Amino acid sequence: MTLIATKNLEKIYDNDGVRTVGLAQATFSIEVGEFLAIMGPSGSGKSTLMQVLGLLDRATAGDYWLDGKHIAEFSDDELATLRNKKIGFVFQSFNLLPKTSVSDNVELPLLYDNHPEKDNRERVRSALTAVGMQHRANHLSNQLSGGEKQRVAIARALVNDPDIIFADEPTGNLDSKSGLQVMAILQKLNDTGKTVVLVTHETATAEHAKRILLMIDGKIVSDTPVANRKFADGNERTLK
Amino acid sequence: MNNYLHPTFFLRPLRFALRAIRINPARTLLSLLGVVIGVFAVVVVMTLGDGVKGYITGQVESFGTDLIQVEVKIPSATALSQENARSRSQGTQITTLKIKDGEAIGKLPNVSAWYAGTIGQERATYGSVAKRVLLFGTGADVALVDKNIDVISGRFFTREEDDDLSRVVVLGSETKETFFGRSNAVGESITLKGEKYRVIGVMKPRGSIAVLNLDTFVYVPVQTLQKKILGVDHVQFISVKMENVDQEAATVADIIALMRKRHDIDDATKDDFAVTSTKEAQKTLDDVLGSVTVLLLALTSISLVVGGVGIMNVMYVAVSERTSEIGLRKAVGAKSSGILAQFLFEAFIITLLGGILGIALGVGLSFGLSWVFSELGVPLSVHFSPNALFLGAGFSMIVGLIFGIAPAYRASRLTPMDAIRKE
Repeated sequence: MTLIATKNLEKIYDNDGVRTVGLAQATFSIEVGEFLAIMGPSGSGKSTLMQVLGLLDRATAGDYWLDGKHIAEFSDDELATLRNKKIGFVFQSFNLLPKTSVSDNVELPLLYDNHPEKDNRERVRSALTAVGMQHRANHLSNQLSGGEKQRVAIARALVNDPDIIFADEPTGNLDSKSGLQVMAILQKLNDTGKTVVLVTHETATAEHAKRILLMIDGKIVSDTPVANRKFADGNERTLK
Repeated sequence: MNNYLHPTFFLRPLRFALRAIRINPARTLLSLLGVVIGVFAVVVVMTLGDGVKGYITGQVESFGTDLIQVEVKIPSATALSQENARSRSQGTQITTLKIKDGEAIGKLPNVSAWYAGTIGQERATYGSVAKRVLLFGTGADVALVDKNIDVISGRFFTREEDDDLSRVVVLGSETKETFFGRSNAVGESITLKGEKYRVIGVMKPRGSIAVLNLDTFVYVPVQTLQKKILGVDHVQFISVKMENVDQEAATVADIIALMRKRHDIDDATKDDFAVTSTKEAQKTLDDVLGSVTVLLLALTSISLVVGGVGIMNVMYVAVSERTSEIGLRKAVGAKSSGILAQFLFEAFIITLLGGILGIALGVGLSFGLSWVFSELGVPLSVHFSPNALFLGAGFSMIVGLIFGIAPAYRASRLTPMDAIRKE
């Protein structure tokens, strides 16, 4: 089943008359359950593509369907609701609220929908369990190590049970051991059926995905499956 | 999809705002400060203003509200004008007001009593004590008009003593202390202008009116003061007591008409006298105090606006400091309206807290000052004025909303991708 489909998607930045192409003529699709890495050097447009796909920014031309919905027709408020229900984000710099407890951080997306709060605690607990951080629920965000912060950020991305998780350089600020832990969690989530889109400039990180889109100067220059997929937990598995 | 009426639409931003305020106590305190000072100033001005007004009104009323004062004035100047005050302080003497005028006024309807008065200064001696004293010449009927005239020992002078130009004096309580200390004064004599004046009474302590200490007066029969000490035959004022205060306007008009007739005046601009009732004086005082209060309020309101600008500044800083937080909130589903509400609530709550603190401090200081003044002998009664509270609290909340809007709007306009930068 197709989760994401784009046709000639284009993003042009116009800064006081200076036009910069962020994304040019991108046409591709992502199926439910995929683990896709968008790879490229800095300035290649990989983050732009993620922001457009993650509904954080709008394309200037072309079409984008998320779960069959034509995104251009949605208002900003409707996009906010879609982000809340269908998408989870993991950022390079974690973006946890400072001086706020781990569980309050994870709960945040639940506070932006109108559902009653009575089952929030349970959802926060199971999201934290999924990333192995349940024992730190009452710590403040600034008392955590980088790797722990990113695991909390992943729990936050999971708590709304989204269809897709976007991870923008999730290992960029981490040491290699913590980075592997984070990749292992993302792979585990993908194994349980979540679609994951990873943005990275490192080939070694990208090889944890099942498929790599390589971008240069705003264009997708290759779209290939990963031949020798890496597994962060060290266990070899056969590709599905 | 956009359920703006859902309670969570307000409650959650409110909760986020409260959390932000709580986790940044130093920032909250700093941004509070301006509003605290502003509200504090407004509350102090209002409560103390009311207290001072009550005090002054009380002082005026202590003379009685049924009085009419006839005073000399420079023709063409109003009684309270600068010109009148200047001319008189420069020595211009109006000599046209006579005791006979008082006698004529005394025969008007609705006049129950009157006395003529004039004031002079002279060096008084008793034994080795010498002091320049204020001589207050009054008719013997002064006690019928001024209900505060009362002796603590001896007696006040009589009409006969006034008519006979008797050399008798009644001492204010402090003057008695000055000359006689604790020993008995009644029956002793002090010397004025080389002549002995017998002390026949000592006044009850009366306190001060503004800077004028009534207890330092020496009361002398008005005709004795005119003829034997000052060498004049005019007086400076005539105090009139009414039978029925409801007919005040008519009585004032009667007095004016009578005085013009007696002084041959056909044109109001040439009046050499001014007639003021206590009620009128009170109204004038009220007006003056009212304007002063309004002026002070306007000035203190400026400090409130400065406090508001401070809040705006802090909120702008908060928005740029928390750009990534705003971006994250938007990424996880916050709408622009939700972000706007959150930051507006923050500014609003901070100013409301500032308002409450300012009111508490202001009321505290007002009561403190009122206590200090009472200890100094000026009984300022300070009331917990609901006006001051509403004004202080209302002002601060409005300031919070007005100055919070711009930063909150900026926060709400940030796009999530502007906000989530890689650091």
